[in-house]
Amino acid sequence: VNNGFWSMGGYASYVWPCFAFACLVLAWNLWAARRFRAAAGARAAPGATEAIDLRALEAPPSCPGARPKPSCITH
Amino acid sequence: MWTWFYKLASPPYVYGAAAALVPWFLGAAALTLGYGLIDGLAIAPPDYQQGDAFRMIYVHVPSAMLSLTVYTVMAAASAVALIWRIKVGHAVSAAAAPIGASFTILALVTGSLWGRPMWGTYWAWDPRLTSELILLFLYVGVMSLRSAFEDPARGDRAAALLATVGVVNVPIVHFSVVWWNSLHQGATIVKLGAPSMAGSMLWPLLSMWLGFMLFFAAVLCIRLQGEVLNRERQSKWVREAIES
Repeated sequence: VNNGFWSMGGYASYVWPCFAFACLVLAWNLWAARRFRAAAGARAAPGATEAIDLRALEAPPSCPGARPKPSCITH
Repeated sequence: MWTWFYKLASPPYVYGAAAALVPWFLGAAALTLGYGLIDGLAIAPPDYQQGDAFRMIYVHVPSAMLSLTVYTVMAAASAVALIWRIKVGHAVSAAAAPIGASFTILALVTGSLWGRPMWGTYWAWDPRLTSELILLFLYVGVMSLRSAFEDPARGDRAAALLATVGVVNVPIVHFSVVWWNSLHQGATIVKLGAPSMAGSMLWPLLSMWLGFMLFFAAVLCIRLQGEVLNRERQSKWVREAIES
């Protein structure tokens, strides 16, 4: 590969960032999608408890309903 | 005849099908993107007017086409979910939105990088650029609206409505270079008649476009699995699938 390839006819400062950003976007998409699926799998796993349910359990008995307002939470 | 359609409404079937398709889509995407990159960067001849700067077409055009395709997929899935009350439609719409937004950003950034040496500016309030920016705002609006409601079902319906109505912007983006005076060049591939490109430049472009589409399909399948798990996590089949 000669210098002409890397210099891209004088447009290297535009062409290479363009392809680098594309690689970044593709890599982010794959990484974020796998992370999203893994997080969903962890939430769906037996024994997993959501934070909101814990807060509801700790709410004082005076708070009506299963999902109390934040002001009802004493901790 | 409609059995396949009914199967697509079944979350366990969609989850299993998505899991099976991911490696095939990713493998095919790697092959087509690899060929497109090598041919586009090293083999295709430079353009007689733009020189080697034209090679940005191999990223810019596929990402711009994908931004419109993903929005159309998202709107179609939203319409299916609204009309037939198929929950998987909302899951597809939610899975497609961040992918489409990222490819719209890629189209805008690469277009901006291409515009600087060709037009002398990174940005102009040109009809094509402005309508593409509106497309990005629509993606962000759909994602924000979905998460703005405490009740996920209401969020889904509101986002689906916006996605369906917003599809009107897709033909506006495509035909903006025809309907208004524009700095942006006209359609090269998706138009009536033969593509206005030499074959040596066209093949890598078609390969990159196919690669981007396959990559989108793979990432959509992965995200769709996550969406289905999130929405069906109380179901028995999800617990069985996780444990197996």
